[in-house]
Amino acid sequence: MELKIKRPAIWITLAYIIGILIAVYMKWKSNYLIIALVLLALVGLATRLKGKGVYLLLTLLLFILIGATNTYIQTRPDTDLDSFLDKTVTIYGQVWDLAQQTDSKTTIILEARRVKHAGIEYEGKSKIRTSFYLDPEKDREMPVNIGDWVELKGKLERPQGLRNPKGFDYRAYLARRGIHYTMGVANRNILSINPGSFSWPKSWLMSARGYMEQILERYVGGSGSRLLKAMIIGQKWSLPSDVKEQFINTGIAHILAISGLHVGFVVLLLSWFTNLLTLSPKAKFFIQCTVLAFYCLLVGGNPSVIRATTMAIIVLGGRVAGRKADPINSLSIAAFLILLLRPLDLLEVGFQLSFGAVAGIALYNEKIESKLVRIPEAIASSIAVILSAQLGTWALLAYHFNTFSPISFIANLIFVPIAGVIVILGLLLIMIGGFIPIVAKILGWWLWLLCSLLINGNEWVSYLPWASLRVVSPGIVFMIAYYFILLILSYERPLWIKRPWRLSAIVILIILLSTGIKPAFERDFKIVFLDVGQGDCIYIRTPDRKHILVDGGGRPEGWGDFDVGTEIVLPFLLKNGINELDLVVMSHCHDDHIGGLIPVVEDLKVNTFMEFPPRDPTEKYGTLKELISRKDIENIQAIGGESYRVGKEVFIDIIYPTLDSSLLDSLYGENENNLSLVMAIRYQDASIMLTGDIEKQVESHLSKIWGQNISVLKVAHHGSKTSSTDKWLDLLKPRIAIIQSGKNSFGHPDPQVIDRLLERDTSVYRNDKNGAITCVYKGGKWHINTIIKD
Amino acid sequence: MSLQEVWQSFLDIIYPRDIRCPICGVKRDDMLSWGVCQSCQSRLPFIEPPICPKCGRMMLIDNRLCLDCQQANHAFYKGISIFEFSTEVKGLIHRYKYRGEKHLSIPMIHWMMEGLKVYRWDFDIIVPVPLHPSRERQRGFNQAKILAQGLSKNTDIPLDSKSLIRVKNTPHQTKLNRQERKRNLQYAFRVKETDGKLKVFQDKVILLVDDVYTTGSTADQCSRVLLDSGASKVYLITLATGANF
Repeated sequence: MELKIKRPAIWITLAYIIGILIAVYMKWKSNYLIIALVLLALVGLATRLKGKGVYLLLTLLLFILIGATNTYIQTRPDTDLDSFLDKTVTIYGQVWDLAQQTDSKTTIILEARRVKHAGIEYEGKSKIRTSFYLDPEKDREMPVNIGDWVELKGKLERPQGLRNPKGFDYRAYLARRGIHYTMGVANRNILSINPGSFSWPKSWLMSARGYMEQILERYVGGSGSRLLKAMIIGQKWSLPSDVKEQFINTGIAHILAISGLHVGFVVLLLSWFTNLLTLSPKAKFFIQCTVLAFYCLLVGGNPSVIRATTMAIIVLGGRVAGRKADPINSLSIAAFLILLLRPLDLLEVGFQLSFGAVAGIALYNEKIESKLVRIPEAIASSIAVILSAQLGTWALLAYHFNTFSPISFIANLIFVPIAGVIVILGLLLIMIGGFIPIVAKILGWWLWLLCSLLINGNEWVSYLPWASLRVVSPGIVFMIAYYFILLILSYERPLWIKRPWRLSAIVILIILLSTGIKPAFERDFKIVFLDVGQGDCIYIRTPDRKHILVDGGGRPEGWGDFDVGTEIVLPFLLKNGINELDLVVMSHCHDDHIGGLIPVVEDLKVNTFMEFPPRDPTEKYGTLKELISRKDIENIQAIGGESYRVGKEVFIDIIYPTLDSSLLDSLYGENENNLSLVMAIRYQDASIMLTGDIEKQVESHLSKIWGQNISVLKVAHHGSKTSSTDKWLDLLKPRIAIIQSGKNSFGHPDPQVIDRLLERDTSVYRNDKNGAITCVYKGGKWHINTIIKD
Repeated sequence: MSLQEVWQSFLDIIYPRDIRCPICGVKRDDMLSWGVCQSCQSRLPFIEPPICPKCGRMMLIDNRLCLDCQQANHAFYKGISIFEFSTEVKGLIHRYKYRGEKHLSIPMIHWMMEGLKVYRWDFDIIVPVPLHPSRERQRGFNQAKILAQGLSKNTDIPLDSKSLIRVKNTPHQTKLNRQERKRNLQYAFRVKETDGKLKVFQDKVILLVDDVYTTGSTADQCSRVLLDSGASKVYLITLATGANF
């Protein structure tokens, strides 16, 4: 067997990445790793690799091992402050970085040095993501600055981990940034603030950044300077989140990342400068490396800028060493270096997008450009760059953000050149801003104009129809196969694959078959009680794959700007492959049940909407209804005694509200909760009762008309003590009870309710303790799976 | 493995060879062992007979000597060259010298070796045309020295790149005419006897190596200096030469 390795760096990097994946997904069970390595070695020996082959295999094994070990070493959790969790602590520390700023909240990264609670003291270093809740009327200003030494009082918490299937794991996200704790601080609990500074080199970088920010603010100002700060010095926290969102929606968010364009321009200026001095190539290279490394640190060392810097240094080094750089090879070296520093960056969207885009360009740019012969060269080359970059990124965008933007090609064609000019002028402004005020003023004016053009133009584009579509996440098999095909079809002439097109066709066939076959295997009756915090949200899938959503969670008015619908419910549906709902049910019109339904109904195809009309409609209800009539969704008004069949075998029996209006009047008691839809869902021998927020009056009425046991009960009103009476529970005798509650100030769920359930030998699951709860009915039995295992 | 070899194989990982043909820049799989593709190899303007037996340039008709050699009395004994100085070769040499693409020396050395094999000259030392130290520092390398090093390695004949030196930092030859070139180069070269070894070139046959041969002024000046310091004969090999009809 003859082996010819053209680009060794690719193989080394891939082996290293496999090592990282092993460590992450096998949670470093070292026996697995050893088994995997032994198997690989055996495969190698079995195929009787000789000479070069053996060395190659050993090298790959070595790098798998290095990858796994490095990941393990770098991700050992910081547990220093665990004993202070959920306690009100006094912390003395330094403001390390600013993270986010909204009207109601400022978030910083605090480096704690001393933590105190009830006489116990800890001294050391630990990063805490700290939020200040501000009174928007009174304190608009930033309460602290970077570098300040502060003393704060607040409750130390662990960031939320994974709560819903394929949901966002905030704990892991922060852990990748070296942060393991969070804390909320009311403004009055800032006990002291003293200006401070950092030690070198952070101090130096900080003052350089401060100087640049000042220049941008002085000569550009307004939203333009905030955009420039993000685009040129990588300071994104001050950029308004709606601008960020519009950039994501039209597919031009990459211009916010510092990347090849910036590094390229810095290199250009540098080589112009070094050419003025008569230096040897080695000395020039040394200067270039130093300045680039400094720039890299200055803008925060994101994967995209490290990638661009590495590739630039390889090209420049090639001139000294007399070698020619190969883009794909340089790209893998950049990936290897970044992952050597921070192995878990592999899981970061920014890392994946940056490398996806550049890989697309490296593999396809030339090919596409050579096909565009009739178009003027300048336009053809930008079309080729955009198309090839999108080949590398669209699947990742769909996978992570569930968006596909048909308009993004045009948006890129228009806005990327503008962004390019902005970057170049912005860098020039920073360089001369301190010396030549007149030129700086002119530059600043132009920059202001261009930035406004970019922000407003893109806002306009993002409102166009078809600007951004919601799509389901492609499966992991699809992702791997897509990038594999992208790679093999890029070969000019077949190298190690005889017929790339035929192989691709086979791979595509396999994906189609697997996606076609997979639903055939998932023919169980499934209910997911989503963890939406305080609120109800239930997803039901019938065996013949009809999708039902009962309620969508939501935050009451004035509970901050977190949108349960777009942040939890929509991602859950789309990431689990659901973009069409056969039935959406509203139990009643309160915010914690329908708030999250609005984005769902807005963005997905909904066939039928079911409700019992409220007597005291909320504002959100109005919005929802307007949406339903606008989208022409069939609207069913359900009433006790009806029974609906969904698919072939699933029935929804409506038990309440009753048709008897005088009875309803007496049960209502000016309380919308008592107009909640109560329904029993039947499938074979299983029955589930969904109760909305009914209270004891309704329960006692239902006790008279209902006489069956049920297997799963959604406990009424988040486990409030006003519901779930003994009598009602005695009647239902649920085997499994689900309490949909989260952090709240109402005392949900009530301990007495839990006791009542436990007394009856009911297994109790709670969203606040268990995260999402998935119940699957299979072979006459319920299988319960919770996200958080106890 | 020597340190140099370790360094080279490290560079091979960062700058993989044999992916694109260094001449046409296209990804190919018909790469020859000296790292250029088949089609470039067959397209390049190799010098073919009839050639001038003195300076190695192509001639239109098979004369005894080329017009130039009939007039000029070249100091070197015999010279050969590999390519005509076409636009493509010019570009290649420009990339090699001024854009720092030292990797181009690999095929260049191969082609020069092929040329040497045909002529079977007998020589004792290989000497590159030197650069002035300040220019060499600026460029980072001496293009002729790299070629000479390669030839020395392939022939096992020793290299001496230290004894012949350039003492005058002359302006570039490219824009000058023949007379100006001669004047420009006068007293530009010298033999430095280093390490107490006197008369390193005494009675030696020398192979002088350079990248381009145009009027022969450089080669002549170097040869003269070498002969003055006792060399018995100077052969010359260059990569490319301008046509001279």
